Amino acid sequence: MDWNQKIQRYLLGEASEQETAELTHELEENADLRQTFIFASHVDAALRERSLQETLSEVARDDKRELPSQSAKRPSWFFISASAALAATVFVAIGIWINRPETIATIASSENAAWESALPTNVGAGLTAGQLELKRGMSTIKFRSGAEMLVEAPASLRLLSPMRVKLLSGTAVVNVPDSAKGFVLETPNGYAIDYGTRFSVEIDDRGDAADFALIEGKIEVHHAKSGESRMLADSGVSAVVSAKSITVETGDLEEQVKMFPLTLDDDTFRISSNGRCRSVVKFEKFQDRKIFDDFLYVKSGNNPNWDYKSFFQFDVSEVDRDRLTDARLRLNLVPSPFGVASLLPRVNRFAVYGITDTDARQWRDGALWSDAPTPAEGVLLGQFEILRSQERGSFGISNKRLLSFIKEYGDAPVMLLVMRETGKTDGVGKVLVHAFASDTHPESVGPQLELSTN
Amino acid sequence: MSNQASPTSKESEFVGLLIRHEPVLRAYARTLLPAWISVDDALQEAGIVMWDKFAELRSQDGFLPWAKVIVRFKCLRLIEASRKQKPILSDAAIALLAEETDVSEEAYQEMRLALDSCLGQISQAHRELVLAPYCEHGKITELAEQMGRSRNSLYKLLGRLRTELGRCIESKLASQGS
Repeated sequence: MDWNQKIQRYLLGEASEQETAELTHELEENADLRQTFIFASHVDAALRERSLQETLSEVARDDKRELPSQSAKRPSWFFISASAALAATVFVAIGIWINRPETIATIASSENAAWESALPTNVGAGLTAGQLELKRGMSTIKFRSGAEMLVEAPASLRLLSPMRVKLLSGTAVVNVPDSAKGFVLETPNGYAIDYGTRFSVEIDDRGDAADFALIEGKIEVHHAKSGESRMLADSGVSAVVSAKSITVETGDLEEQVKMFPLTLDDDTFRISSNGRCRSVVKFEKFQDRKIFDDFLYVKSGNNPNWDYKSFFQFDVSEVDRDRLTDARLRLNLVPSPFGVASLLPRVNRFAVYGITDTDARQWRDGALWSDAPTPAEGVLLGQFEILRSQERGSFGISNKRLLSFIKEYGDAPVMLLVMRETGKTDGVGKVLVHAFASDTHPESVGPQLELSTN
Repeated sequence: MSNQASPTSKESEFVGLLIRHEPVLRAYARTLLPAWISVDDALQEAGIVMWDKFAELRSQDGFLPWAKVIVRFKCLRLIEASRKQKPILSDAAIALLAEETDVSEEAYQEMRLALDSCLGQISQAHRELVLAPYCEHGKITELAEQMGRSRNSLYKLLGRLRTELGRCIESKLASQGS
């Protein structure tokens, strides 16, 4: 007797009265078969979830026009009058998503995003359950529950419900307002429940470990296999959920970065780059966007097309270089317009190069990545670090190498290049594009060279 | 809108717990009930009872066992009502299944992940077939016509594929050493 086949026929609603009676008899007697039955019914439940997710996205594709009005009429997650009405509404929402296509999220914004999906992917498009692949750019997905997810390419995610999403690969920042408390983000080996907060998550390249970093609020991170869970409640704390375990790192928030003094001594003066500061992106078609005006972007990531570097020039011809005793480069970190404040890795290292190549030292208005100076055309002057939890502050270098570089090359304007060193080898830091103020930034001051004389 | 209030902590706690455990509760009801349509009914009715009684729940850890009792009660009521319409396992067998079902949220999620990976290992045609029973009525018959097979032989194949998927999942879970 093939009991497996009988169980499947019963679960599929195909078993006859005779077959059901046989199965009943055996189940009553045989504890192993009961376990087989329980397992088969759970697989059936998981298969149904999977099937509904796929069907819903297909139906949505065929039937887009109907969706906006549906979603407009849908009660919000917390439409409350009486307790019974709440329960009914919650279940209506869950029930509807199970039974027919339902807009669970919309695409709120896109930065040069290229999607690959059966779902419509223009800005404002309603999304039903289904899979999305972000090939390049960034995009913000707003869930009907109020939760928002900023995704950076390359990423692959599966929308499951207004309160549940699975990130299969890539990096995302999740923002959960009170209305979406309990929002669940699944990863390959675990998941996080969000209790009203902002956090980032990145899946490593093997699609295995998920690195959660809390920005603010509270999340609970779960490891699927062990059932272990950890509550993250201090900003800056992070947890890596891999196939094996959860590892929690406490946020190391002590000052690792040397902050710069705000006032200057009498014999110190500042030189600005005076408009000669620029950042370039390797993907040159993206260069002509206006977001480049006020910021100096620096980034290195897994996708080199989205690497950014910045360079600037200081005219020190008026300075008596023989009398210089100290030199300091100051850059003002400002919140990135990409809206990402604090991301991986925990410590980001930046390198400053002094450009020595005669041709590369020339300033070119409108330079693209391929025209910009490279580290090979100069010398490393120093490094500085920024914690991922920091989104403002002064950073830079102050050392003998910078001083001698200025003394040696100051006859013509000195050209400095800033690049981010972390991000690529660690496989982390994909989302964050560090932004420093340019000379035209509305609030902060652009690159400054601070020189002291004796 | 005036009728939109911000949620109290109790309400958001409830919704959070419910959403988190809903897949497991649905799978639990599936073990007890003969058809998906009654599973959905059971969960909907159980949800209303859960909210009414939520104040009685002492701790979040107790939610799943507590919710399972409510779901089980609703399932038994529905079984009674639908016995006349289709063949169903005996009350004794169902009671044993209910007692012996012990699945955690984590174990269920892990099984789901293993299923995804096993689904990636079968052919597109077979994948379409195993996902078909949950689509609109008559989907299997339609597929049978397309493939030039009898409905019965397709159900047999479907049963075998589902059993194989189950084995694939078991071996994946076992190889993870859980």
